[in-house]
Amino acid sequence: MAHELNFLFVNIVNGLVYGSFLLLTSLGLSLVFGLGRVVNFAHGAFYALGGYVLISVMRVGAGFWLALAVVPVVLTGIGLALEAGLIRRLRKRPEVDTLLATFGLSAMLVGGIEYLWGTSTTIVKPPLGFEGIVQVLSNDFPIYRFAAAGLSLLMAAGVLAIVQWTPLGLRIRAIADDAEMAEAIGVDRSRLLWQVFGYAAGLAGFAGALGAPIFAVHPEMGLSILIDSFLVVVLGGLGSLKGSTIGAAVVSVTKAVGGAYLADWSTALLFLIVASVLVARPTGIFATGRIA
Amino acid sequence: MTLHLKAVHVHLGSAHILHGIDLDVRPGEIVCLLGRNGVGKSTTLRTIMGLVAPSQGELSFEGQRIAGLPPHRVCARGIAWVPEDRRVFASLTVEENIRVAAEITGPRSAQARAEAAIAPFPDLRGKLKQRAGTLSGGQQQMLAIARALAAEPRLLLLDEPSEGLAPVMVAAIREAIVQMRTRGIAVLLVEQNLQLALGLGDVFYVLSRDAVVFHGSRQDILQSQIIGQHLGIDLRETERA
Repeated sequence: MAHELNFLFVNIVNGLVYGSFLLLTSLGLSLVFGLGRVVNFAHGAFYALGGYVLISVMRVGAGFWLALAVVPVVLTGIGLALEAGLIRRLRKRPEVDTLLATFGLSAMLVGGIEYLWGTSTTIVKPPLGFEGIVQVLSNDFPIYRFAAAGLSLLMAAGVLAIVQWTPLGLRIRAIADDAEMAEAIGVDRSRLLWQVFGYAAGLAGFAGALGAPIFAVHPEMGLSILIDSFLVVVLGGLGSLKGSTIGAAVVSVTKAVGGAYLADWSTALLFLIVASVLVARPTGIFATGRIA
Repeated sequence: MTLHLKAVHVHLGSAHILHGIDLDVRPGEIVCLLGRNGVGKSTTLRTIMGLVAPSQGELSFEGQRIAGLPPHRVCARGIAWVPEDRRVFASLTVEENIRVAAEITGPRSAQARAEAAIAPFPDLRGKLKQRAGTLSGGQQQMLAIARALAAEPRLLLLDEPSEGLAPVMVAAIREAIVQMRTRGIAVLLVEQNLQLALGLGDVFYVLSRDAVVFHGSRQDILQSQIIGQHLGIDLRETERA
C-alpha cells in the first residue's frame, strides 16, 4: 500500500513539473487566440526552436543561464517577424485560413530545424549546481526538475500579473472583451496582437529551452506539447488564462498518473476527460470570450 | 469646421446604405441627426469612427482627411464614440473601463483625465471596483459616456444615449451633454427622443431614405413640417406629453 502511494506521489510530482511547462505554452496559445482569434499551430515549433537556439548559443561558448536568457529574445523576434509577415496579412480572412497557414508554418519550421540541426535527439546537461538530486519522502528527484518548474511557474505568474495589473494587460483584456469597441477608444489591436504573438513565441521558446535538460531536444518535441496545450486551452476555455492554469494541472497530472497505471490508455483517458467536459460545458470550464 | 462630410456613400455588401450624406459639425456645437429607424444614422456614426469604410465621398476632421483611417487613429485625432448598445467592457471594472481609454495617450496625466471623465457622473464614484457588466442600463450608459470622455475628444458621437432609460437617468445624461458643450466638446447626437434632441441641439439634420432631407437650426425645424413628414411625429403632441 505504502509502495503504491509512493508510486502515485512520484507520478503526480512528475506530472506537475510537466504541467508547469505546459502552463507556459498554453498561456501564450490562449492569449493569441483570445486577442486575435488565431489558432496557432506553429506554437509547438516555437517550443522546439527554443531548445535548438539554447543548444546553438551554448555551442558558441555561452553558459546555460545566459543561453536561456537569449532564447526568448530570439524567439520573440522570430514571432514578431512571422506575425508581421504572415499572420497580419490573413487577419481579414476566415479564421480557418490562419489555422492552415500556421499548420504549414509549423511543418516548415520543423523541416528547417531538421535541415539545420539534424534529426537526432540532443541531451542537454543541467547547469552547474543543479546536477544533483534531492530526496522528497524517500524519493530521488533531480534538483533541476524543481528549479525549472519553479522558474516556469514564476514566469507564468509574471504573465498573469502583466495581464491583470499593467496598462498592456488592460488593453489585452479590453480587446478580448469587445475588440471593435476597444479599437474605437484608441487601442491599436493590430499592434497589440503583433506584440502578444511575439511574446507568446518567446514564452514557448523559453519553455522549450528550460525543459531541454529534462525532456531532451529533438525536432518533433513541440508536437506532443502542442497537442497537450490545445487540450489545456480547450479544457480551460479558449482565451481564459484562469482556465489554462487549471487545465494545465489537470492535463499534466492525468497524463503522468494515467501513463503510470494505464500505459497507452492514458491518452484515451485524457481525451475522455476533455470530451466529457466539453459535453457538459461546450465552451470549456471558464470560457467567457474574455481574458482573465 | 470640426467635422465635414460631403457626398458620403456607404455600401455594406450589396446594400447601398448611405446615398451621399452631407453633414457639418462646428466646434462646441450640438448637432442632432434625426430620422426613422433604419435610415442610416448609426451607420453614419460608424463611418465617421472608421468602423465602416465609405465607398465614396469626403470625410474630414479639423481639416484633415479621416476616411479610411482605422478606428484607433480616428480616436487619436480627437473623436470618441458612444454606441447605441453602450458596449461597456463587461468583464472589466468601472475604473478599468475608464482607465483603458485614459491611458491610451500615455500614463502621464491619465489619472487627471479619468477624474475629469467621471466628474459629470457622481453615481459611478461609489462603483469604481464593480464589474461594468453588473451595472444597471443607466449606469452603463453613464460609464460608456465617461469612457469616451476619458479619451479627451473634441467631438463626441452619441448614438441614442437615452434609449431604454428611466427619466431620471435621461436627465443625468442630458446634464452631462450640456456640460460637454460648456467644455467646448462638439457633439453629434443621434436620438429618437425628440424632446431631448430639441432641448439640446443647435443644428438639426433629418435623414430619410439614406439621404439628408433637412438641415437647419432649432427654429427652422420647429417651423418646418419635416418632423411630421419624415419622423411621423406630431410636435404638438410631443410638447403636450
